[in-house]
Amino acid sequence: MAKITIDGVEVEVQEGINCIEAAKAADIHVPHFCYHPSLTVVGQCRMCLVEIEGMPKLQAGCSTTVKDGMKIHVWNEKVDEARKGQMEFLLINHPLDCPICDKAGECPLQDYSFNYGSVNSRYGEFKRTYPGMDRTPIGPHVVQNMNRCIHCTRCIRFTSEITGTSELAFFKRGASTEVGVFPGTPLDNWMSACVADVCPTGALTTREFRFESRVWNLESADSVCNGCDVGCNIFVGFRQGQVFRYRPRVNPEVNDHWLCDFGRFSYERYDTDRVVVPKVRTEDDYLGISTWSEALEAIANAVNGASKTAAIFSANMTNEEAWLAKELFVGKMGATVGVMVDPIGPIKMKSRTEWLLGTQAAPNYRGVAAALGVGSRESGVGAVSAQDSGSNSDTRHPTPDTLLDNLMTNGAEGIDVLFITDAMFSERASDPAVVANLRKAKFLVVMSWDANHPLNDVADVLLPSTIHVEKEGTFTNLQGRVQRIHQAYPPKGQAVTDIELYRRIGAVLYGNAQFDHIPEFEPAGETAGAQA
Amino acid sequence: MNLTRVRPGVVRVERTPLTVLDRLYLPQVIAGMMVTIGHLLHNLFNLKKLPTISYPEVKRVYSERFRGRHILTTREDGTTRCVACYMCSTACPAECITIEAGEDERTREKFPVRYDIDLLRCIFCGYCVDACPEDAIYMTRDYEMAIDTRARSVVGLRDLVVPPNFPVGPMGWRPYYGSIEKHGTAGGTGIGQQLRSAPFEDDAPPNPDVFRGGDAQ
Repeated sequence: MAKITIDGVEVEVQEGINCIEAAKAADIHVPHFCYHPSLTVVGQCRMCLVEIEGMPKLQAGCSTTVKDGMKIHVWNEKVDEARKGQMEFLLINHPLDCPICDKAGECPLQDYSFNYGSVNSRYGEFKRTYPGMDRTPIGPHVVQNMNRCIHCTRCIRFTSEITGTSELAFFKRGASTEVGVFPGTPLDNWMSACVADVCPTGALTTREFRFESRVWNLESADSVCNGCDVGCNIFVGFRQGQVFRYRPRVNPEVNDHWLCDFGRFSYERYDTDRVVVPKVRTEDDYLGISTWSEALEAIANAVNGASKTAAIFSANMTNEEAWLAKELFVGKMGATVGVMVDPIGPIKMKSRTEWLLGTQAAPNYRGVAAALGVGSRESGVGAVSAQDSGSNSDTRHPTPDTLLDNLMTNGAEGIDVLFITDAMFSERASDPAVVANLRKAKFLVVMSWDANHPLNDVADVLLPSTIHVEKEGTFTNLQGRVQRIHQAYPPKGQAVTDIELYRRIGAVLYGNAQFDHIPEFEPAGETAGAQA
Repeated sequence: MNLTRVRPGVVRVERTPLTVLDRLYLPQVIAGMMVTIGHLLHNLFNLKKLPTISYPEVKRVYSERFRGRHILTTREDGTTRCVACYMCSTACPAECITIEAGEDERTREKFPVRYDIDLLRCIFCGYCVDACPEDAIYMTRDYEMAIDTRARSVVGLRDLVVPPNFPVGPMGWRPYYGSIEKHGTAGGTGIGQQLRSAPFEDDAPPNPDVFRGGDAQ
């Protein structure tokens, strides 16, 4: 440990870390562009200059490691003057087109220009431009505007150090240095859109979010990506009940600063018609809009006369929902239940220390399987067969659920009431043959949020369900880490959160206040770090 | 009237009973008519000082900085100056501006595909004009915005955009009140861009907003 003084504040930090990280311990922000906690230090932007007593010149805070007894000044006249000069240099060739730049509002260059820059420009000459490079699509997701680049090389270091694909590089020399891709090799890797996050200017933006909304018009909610079972921490950017983007939330143990393209743009699946009202099939075989009480009454009538019930759980459920649904369907109703998950990827994600491989297409298979009690047939659980304990490689590839397999391939004959808690429980559920097989149950209850899902049309009772940004809960990721998701906006139309939905079914069948208590699932090491 | 304070916040008002003359109503009606007739006679003998005007034929001259209906200005090449930066809708306290941005692959990086102003929500404060970094939105001195249905209160691009070289001289409220010179391109890549002197430095006409004696208003 080293005892250092930063702007008069004495802090004790680990020896060998750099001044920027040390200043964070003293709650002092050292402005920086090229430095990134997860990338190597290059000392290129000179924005993080600090004064260190005993050294004749200002030192770059990112490349200077702290030593016991060091006295660092982040805020004094000399440093301020240097920063102001540096800001002036950076803005000489910056187009200052903030009005049409998507980064405006969350742009480090803009913020530092306000905080550390000078009000007036002394530059009267023509700005250096890159003709024809103001809208270059350099990959499937990334659009580059070279004019806005300040040559911090964060994107180049990201492709060479994190993804290891090295698509980006510097070309030309001096004032005409440009960041670009090699001919024939576009920036097309599985995490390519992360370069738009690390870019401290609007030089790199994502094509999907481009011009969709100004960032200050978006609200943000902490959540967890549900693209795969890695469980990357995200911010959901939303407005008026619509998701506009996902942004990585820093968690060094899981996704560090990154988010894969598949997960980042997985919100696009929500851009569809939603089920917003319950529907009940009438006597003349018409699936018509109904009230909640009519729908619940139809379910109650069917369940009360049923001898064999079954429920298909979904790996998209939160732990709380899985617990509650198990209490309802297994504990009270005595149903056979099963859960399955589609294979995916593997999607690689780099935490600060290790590579994680996402192999399941849903975020919470492990949590749901654990809630069902893996393999415990006594509790009426059918054929849940995920070996979630231990570290053998089988955890990545759960063996197929025999109950669900039987239902989907041979048909659901003999089952009086079949509950499908999420129509998107598997991609196979959209297959017409599978839909026909599931329809063979005498009474089919489908909970769904996608109004275009083929299972909706065959249901006897269709209940509106919610997507993960509309509910609170926890997901268990592949490390067994319990992570919390927060509600961004309330469910649409007459839909209710899934917990409330199960409670309503339970209330109409077994009386009120049956399922009020849900055990707490404690999130492990919750971090709410901002984008560095 | 007799007021008694009962307790903090509560006042009892004693009603004064009407006199016989009051109850007849006629004396008060006559007193009212006297006022009307007095004004009539006064106006008949002072026709030149009439405060009312015959509106559709005669129109009042408003201030040069009157904040009336908005327009969206255009560049010489016919494209709207607006770059859909949302500054106006962000500054708008009434939240009456709705913008959707689009991208033209060949020419302009960003432009509005939708620009709606709800004139019934608009409070004509002029903040949008002040916020605009491109001198794209001005306010005219047009105050005739009568509509017959509520739906027509929302005006879009086809109502707001004016042709190029539209005379902005007789406009209403606009930023940098004075001579209007605009160089360079939207997006400000710097090509052909000249440094613009600070606002209000050039020869602005005398501020017409200053009250200039009796016959203004």
